[in-house]
Amino acid sequence: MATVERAIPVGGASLNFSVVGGTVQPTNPKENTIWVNTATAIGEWQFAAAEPVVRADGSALVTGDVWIKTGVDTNVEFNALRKNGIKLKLVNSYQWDGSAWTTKTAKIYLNGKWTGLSFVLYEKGTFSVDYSQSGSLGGITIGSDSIRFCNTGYPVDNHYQYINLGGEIDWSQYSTVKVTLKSYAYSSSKPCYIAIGTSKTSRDLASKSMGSYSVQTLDVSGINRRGYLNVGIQVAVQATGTTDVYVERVEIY
Amino acid sequence: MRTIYLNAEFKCSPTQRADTVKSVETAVFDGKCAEYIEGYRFVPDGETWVREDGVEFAGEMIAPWKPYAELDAAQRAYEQQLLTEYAAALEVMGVKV
Repeated sequence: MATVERAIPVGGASLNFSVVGGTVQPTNPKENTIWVNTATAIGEWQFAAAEPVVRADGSALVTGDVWIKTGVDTNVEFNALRKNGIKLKLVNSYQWDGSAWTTKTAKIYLNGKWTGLSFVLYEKGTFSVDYSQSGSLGGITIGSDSIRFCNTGYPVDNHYQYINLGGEIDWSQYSTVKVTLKSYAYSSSKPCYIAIGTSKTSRDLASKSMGSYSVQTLDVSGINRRGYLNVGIQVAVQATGTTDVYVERVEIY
Repeated sequence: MRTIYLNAEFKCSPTQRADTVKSVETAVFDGKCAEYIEGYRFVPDGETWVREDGVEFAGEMIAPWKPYAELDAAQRAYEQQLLTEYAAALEVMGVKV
């Protein structure tokens, strides 16, 4: 699909970026090109920390309008004006479908390479996607500022407890899962995993056993299919020790 | 459980090769064909792999580096071949399948 570039508005000669749509990543882009992966033509676009309810001029949202969410703790920061006047930190991108904002993956061409905007599935007590638990181990507690994964027992069977975030996801759009921990204590016989599986209870496509770093990452760039993001503990029979992990942020990009 | 051989980029092989730098024992690839195994990366606990875009991935991490669709197709073909061989063996023993 051909890319559609929104015209830079009057007074926009000082803008240092452009927003384009399409399903094919642009070739030979200019620095600070923001590409929204969408088959729907882009209308107006706006940067905002909170979900917009109208266009920038106060008129009603129109199908195709794009909202690029800004934040504080993100993986993308760039100068929006030519003379380094405003720095924007980009989080997620969304497109109006006529009745709601739907997530769209996006990338920005920064410093000569494409960088994906992250999609935050969970942060400090707030889920932005549906979630569900599976397993017989128990030990997952949804707290006010983190998700706790804890096991101190002595199981007599091979148990697990996973929380699935977002249901089935098309991983061909993403390269990385990033999990930020509030705190971590673990037993090697009771690993806490970040995993991509063919079901809500599996980790058969890719897995990361969380260690003692505050930021945990899983490479998903090779997974060109749909799958489930599952986070949880897998405990071998008669394992000893304590695993107690607090997750405060889960994002994909 | 089987021995998997890793090169400097933590890419897996079911057999030792000229670029092998270490080996690991794991059950993750039990039942998988060589082509499937060779499409995976295994970063052991305590080690770190840096992707070409600069993102760091600490072990233990097991993830495909080849497009998974190709690995899945190879594994399915391998399993179908096994089924064909099993059926042939059963027929030799006079068991109708």
